[in-house]
Amino acid sequence: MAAVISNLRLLDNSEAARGLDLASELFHRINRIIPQDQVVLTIEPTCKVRDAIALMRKHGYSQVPVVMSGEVLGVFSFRSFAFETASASLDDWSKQKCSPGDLQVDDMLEEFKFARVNEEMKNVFDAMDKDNGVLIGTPENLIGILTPMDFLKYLHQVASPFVMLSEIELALRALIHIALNPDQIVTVARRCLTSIYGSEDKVPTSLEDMTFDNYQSIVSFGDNWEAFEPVFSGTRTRTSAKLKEINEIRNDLFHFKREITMQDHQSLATHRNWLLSKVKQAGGCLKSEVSHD
Amino acid sequence: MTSNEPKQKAPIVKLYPHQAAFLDMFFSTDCKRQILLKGGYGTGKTTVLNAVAQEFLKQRPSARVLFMAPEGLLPSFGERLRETNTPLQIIERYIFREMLDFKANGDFWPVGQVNLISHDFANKNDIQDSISNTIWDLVIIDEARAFRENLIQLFSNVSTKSNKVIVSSTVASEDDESFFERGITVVEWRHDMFANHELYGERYGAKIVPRPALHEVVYSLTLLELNIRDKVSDLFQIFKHTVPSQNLIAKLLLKSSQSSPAALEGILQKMVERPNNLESLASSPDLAGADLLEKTPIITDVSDIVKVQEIAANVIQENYDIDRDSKLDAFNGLLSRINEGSNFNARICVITEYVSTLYYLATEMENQGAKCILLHGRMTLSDRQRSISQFNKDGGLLITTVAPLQGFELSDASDLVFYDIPGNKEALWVVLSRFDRIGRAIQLNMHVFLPDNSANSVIDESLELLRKVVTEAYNSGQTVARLGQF
Repeated sequence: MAAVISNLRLLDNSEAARGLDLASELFHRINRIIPQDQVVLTIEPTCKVRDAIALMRKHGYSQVPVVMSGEVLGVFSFRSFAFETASASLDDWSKQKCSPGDLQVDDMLEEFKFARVNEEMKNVFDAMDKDNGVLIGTPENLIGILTPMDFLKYLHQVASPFVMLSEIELALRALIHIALNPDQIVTVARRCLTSIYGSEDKVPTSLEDMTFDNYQSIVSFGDNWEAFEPVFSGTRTRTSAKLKEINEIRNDLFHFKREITMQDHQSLATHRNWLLSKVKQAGGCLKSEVSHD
Repeated sequence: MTSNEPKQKAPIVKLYPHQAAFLDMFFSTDCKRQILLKGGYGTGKTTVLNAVAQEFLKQRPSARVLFMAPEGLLPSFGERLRETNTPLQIIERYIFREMLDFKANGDFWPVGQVNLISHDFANKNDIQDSISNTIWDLVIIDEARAFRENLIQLFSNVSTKSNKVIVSSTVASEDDESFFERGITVVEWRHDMFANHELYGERYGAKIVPRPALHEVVYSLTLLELNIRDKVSDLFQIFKHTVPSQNLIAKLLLKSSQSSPAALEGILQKMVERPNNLESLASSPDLAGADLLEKTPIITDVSDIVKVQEIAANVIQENYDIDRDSKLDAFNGLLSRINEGSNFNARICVITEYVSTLYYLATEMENQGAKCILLHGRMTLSDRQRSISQFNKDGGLLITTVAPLQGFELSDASDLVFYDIPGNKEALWVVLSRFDRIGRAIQLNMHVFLPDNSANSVIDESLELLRKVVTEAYNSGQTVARLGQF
């Protein structure tokens, strides 16, 4: 779990707070992108290329910092290996009297840029593009390593709940359209939303003008269930319970109340797939009705 | 906050006499360096550990203090310390990286605040090293049981370098003392001292109330529901292998079918979507104990995968067709009976292991025009506190999952309804300890649902465990009674 906002209230009480960059809790900076469980793998400069590559394959890494006495000397990577190997002639290899795998990694290092944990993401784009990675910390204090895949995963994690919620909302809107004709939509909206909007003439009459709350109220309202039962199947309680759960996650997300957890992701994905199946079933029924007509 | 602002006076934490005695002992000049606090659930260890941290920093404002606790308890520990204006910082990976970046020369653990850290995080190699290489003025380790498995070496390093160490342990065991050097102080708060409130009540004026009672609510499944149970049993057989993770999935399937149609549907949907991916099941929001599962495929046989998908899809459809939920009917009957029978404002807490069941019950209550309060792990700490406060103040119906109960007191609840029975002793104790606490003024009535026409080994095991725990806790075979047929 990332740093929680509730911590902030206390930071101003402590000595440590003065040194910590609080902005990193609020803004999407590099600290957030480094995987939480990252264990930085380092090797010594005397490590044989063969052993380094075996280690990288074992851990699924394409690059590894080379460290001596706590200081980063550079990075050994598949790319640095390829550059050095390709640039040597057969004559060079003959003179060395060994295969590339027998060399030490310090013969094949490349330099990576360093970034601080509090830096903005965009500051490292160029370095990331050029080197396929950035080291975090300083040469004397290596804290982590950042790769394009870390960026991709982080941005996906941040964006995917919004994408799923838009799919969910549009699917729900489509299902209501399938269950009710425009006149019926106006009738049921007035029936169950008047108390929310204060008077009948203030109730939106088009689904596009309504909120997710409104959709939930319309589908969950007891007298309306007869129209929705063929589309959603099951019981009103179960359908309403799902919409209630989605709505709570949605509110937390859109009001930035808390960080969205893996469980939230799972729930949204499950409910999204449930609605997808309902849309498919309803679509199939519509097609079959059209073909019968 | 600037130095010109008046300093807030730290609120005084109300302590019971045994807690106040512990605090006096800790700050006395002849107190030993290492202290083991043994005590059952609900005896007030958490409060006293917080009070020690608060008072220690008050007396020594530049002390370096480390407080290790189970992950789930960190927010409530943090909030309690905040309430007493004790400076603290929950240290997790992101904060630790900033500390590293800010001050790399080793001695970077802040002084003048409680550094609150989870056992799991403390167990990371780099964190262990960092903690071990620091001289602490005070180290508090809550729940040594959770600590014991992996962190003995860390404990050894920390305890030799620290000026004062307190370790608390819920389940008293002789092994606890093996952590320590000779000559430690052991304080034991025995369960019977508080479980039998008479002793405590007579001495300190607490009201003496009868011990909690367990009632079993019997109901009958319909033919359609029994048919679904049979289909779930078919799935159970596919998953029931000797591999622990598969066996766990099999058990979770049965448990979900026992919980509610909503819980069962959630798991079946995942089986249809990704039948060969254990992770998708293991990380289900609903599944308790999911962290026990390995991230390996559940089933690899293609014919089994197809079979699972077919059966699961079939059961989902049949599950949709069921318009009556017998357990829910029994639940509604029970609520009516409780409300009719009580001459006071009933405070009913309903426990489920499934978030989907929680929403299912909440929606059902709302459909009936009844309001209920929700508590689950996805809520923010302030929302959880709001739920608990509202329940303790106004009463009514609280529907909750197990984990978020940790750290809260519900000693005013009149009824505890196990809609699902937590499947392990630890979780059961977490629940019971929230309700049966020092200061309880009315008897707690516990209720559990029991289908009389369906055999389900997982439920039998859970119920047997609950009966055993209740009998152990309350030392009485008289507490278990059948409430009757619904």
